Amino acid sequence: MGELYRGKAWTFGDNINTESIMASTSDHGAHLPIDECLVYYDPEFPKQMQPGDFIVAGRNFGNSSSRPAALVLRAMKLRAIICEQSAVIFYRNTWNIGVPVLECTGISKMVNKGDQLEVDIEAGIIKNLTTGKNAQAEPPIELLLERWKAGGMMEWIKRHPDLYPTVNKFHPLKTGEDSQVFPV
Amino acid sequence: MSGHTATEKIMAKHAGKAEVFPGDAVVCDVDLVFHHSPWLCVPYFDEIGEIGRVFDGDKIAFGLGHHVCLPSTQEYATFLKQSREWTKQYGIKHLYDMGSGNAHILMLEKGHVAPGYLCVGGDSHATVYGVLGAFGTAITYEIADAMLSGKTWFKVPPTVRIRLEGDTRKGVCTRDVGQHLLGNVVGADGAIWKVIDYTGSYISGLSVMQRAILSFLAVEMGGMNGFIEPDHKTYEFIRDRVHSSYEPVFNDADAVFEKEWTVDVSGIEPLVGCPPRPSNTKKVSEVAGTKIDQAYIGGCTGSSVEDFRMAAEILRERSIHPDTRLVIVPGTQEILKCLREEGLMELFENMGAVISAPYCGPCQMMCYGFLGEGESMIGTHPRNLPGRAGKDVEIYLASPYTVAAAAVNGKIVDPRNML
Repeated sequence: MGELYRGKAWTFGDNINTESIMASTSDHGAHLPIDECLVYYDPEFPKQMQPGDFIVAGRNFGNSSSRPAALVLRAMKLRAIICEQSAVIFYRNTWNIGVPVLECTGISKMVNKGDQLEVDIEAGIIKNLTTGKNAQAEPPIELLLERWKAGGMMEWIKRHPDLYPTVNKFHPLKTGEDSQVFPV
Repeated sequence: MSGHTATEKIMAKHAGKAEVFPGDAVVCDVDLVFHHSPWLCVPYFDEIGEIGRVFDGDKIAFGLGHHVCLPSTQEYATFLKQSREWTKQYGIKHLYDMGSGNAHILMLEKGHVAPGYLCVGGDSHATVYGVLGAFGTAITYEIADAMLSGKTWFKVPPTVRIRLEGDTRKGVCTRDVGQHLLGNVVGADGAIWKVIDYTGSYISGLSVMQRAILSFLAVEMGGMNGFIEPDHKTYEFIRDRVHSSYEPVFNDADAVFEKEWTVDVSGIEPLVGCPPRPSNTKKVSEVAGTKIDQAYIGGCTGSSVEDFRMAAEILRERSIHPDTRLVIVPGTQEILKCLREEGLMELFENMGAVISAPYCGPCQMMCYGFLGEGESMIGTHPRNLPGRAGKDVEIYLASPYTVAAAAVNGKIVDPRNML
C-alpha cells in the first residue's frame, strides 16, 4: 500500500494528443504553454484545474509527438493520469518526469467530470468517493514506479552511480519536501 | 519452441542475452542516440552532477536543422549556439546544422543507421530507422540518460505484421497506402507497445525512401518501430553510407507475430487524412471541393526525390491557383541536389512556388509557414493534430499527387483526372 491522494477528476475522451497538452510554440520549449493545455478539449481546464487534481481519459492518451508534455502537467501540479490506455512514449516520459500514468480498463465509464477520487498509486487502487465505485489499475512497469518514487529520472540516476561512469561527481540527493515532485 | 522476431533478436543481442520474449524487461546497449533539440536534454546533465563527457561521442548525433532552417527568434538562436558548444564540451561527434535537412532522413543518409542496430531518438518519428532493418524508437525525456549510460530499457514488444501485396494504380502511391493502413486497417491505437513489420511484394518493389514513409507512419498507429527486413535495396542504399560493422537480423521462419494483416494495395484510392487527427481517413471524393489556402510538399512522409517527381507530373505545364500558395521543402541537401539535377527545382521556381532550404517543414509552426486563423492547408507531412500548428486551422494530409492537384485548383480534387 502506498500513500492515498485525493483530488478532483477532469475527464477526457480517446486519442488525446501530446500537442494538445503541450502546444507547439515558436520559442521551442523556452516557456511552458500552460494556458493552452488541453483547451481544444476543455477550455476550462487550465483556468480551473487545482493542484492535486487527476486527469481521467480513454484510449491512446498522449499519442503523437514525443515532446515531454508532462512538463506542463507537472508545472500545473496534476497528481496523476488514469486512462484506459496510454501511448508508449508518453507513458515512459511521464513517469520519468514524475507524474504517474495508471492504465485502468473501464475507468472512463466510472468517473464523471468533477468526481472526487482517492487513489493509491503504488497499489493502483482508485476509489470514486462521489459514486462509491472502486477500480483496480494495471500494475505499472517496475522501473518506472521506482523512478517516480525516487522523485523522477534525475534523482534515480543519482542513486545509481555505477551505471554512469562519465559522471565525475553527483549532486547530493534531494531530501524531504525537495524530493517530492510537488509537496503533498 | 517457436522462433523469434527480428526485434526480439536485436533486443536480446543488445541486452547480452541468448533470447528474450515479448513482455520481458531488458536493458539494451544503444548504437545511436539522436536529438534535434539538445536544450531539452543536455541541461539535465547539470541537475545530475558534474559530467565529463557522454558515453560515446561517435554514437550521438544532434540534428539542429530538423525543426528549423533558420532560427525564428533570438532565444532560439541562443539555444542553437549553446548546442554547438555542448558538442565540443561533451565530445559529441555528429552535428547537422541549419539547412542540412530533416534529421531522420539525415540519420539514414549519413550512415548512422544500419541493419541490426538499436537506435533511440528524441523524436517520435525515430520509428523510421526500422526501414533499414534496425530497431528505432523515441524515448525523448530519457535521452539524457541514454547519452550518459549508453543504455536504455524496454519491455520487449510483440510484433504485428502487415503484408502488402500487388501494386498501386495510377495516381495512387505509398502515402495513400500508409493512409489506408492508418485509417482503415490498424487505426491510431492498433500498434501500441508493438512493432510493425512490413513485408510483401509491394514492399519489395519500393525504394528505401518510399518504404520510409510507412516506417515513419508506424508511430501514428501507436507502433514502437516500423521494421522492414533488409534486402538488396537496403544494402545498395547503405553501401557508401555505413562505415561501421553491422549484422543484419531477420525474423525466424517460425517467429510468432501477434497479428497479421494482408492488404492488396491495388484496391486503394487516393485518400486524405482529415482534421483533427491523421487516422481520420476519407476518400478524396468525400472531401473534394474543400478550399485550400496553402499546399505543402515536404516533411518526413513526402520530401524525397520520388515525392517531388510525382508532384511534378501534376504541376508541369500548369500554374498555381491564384488564391493558393505552394510551399516546397526538400528533405535534405542530398535530395535538393538531385532535384536541381533533374530540373525539378527550376520547374517549381518558375511556377512561383515558395521554396525553402531543407528542414522538416511547416508540419508544426516552429520556424515559418504559419497559417492565418481560419485558413486551411493540405500537405504530404504526417500530422494535423490540435495544438500543432496554431489555432483555428484545418489541415489535410495526402499524397504528392493530391497536394499538387489542390495547389493547381485551389481546392481538393481527385488527382487521377490530371494525370
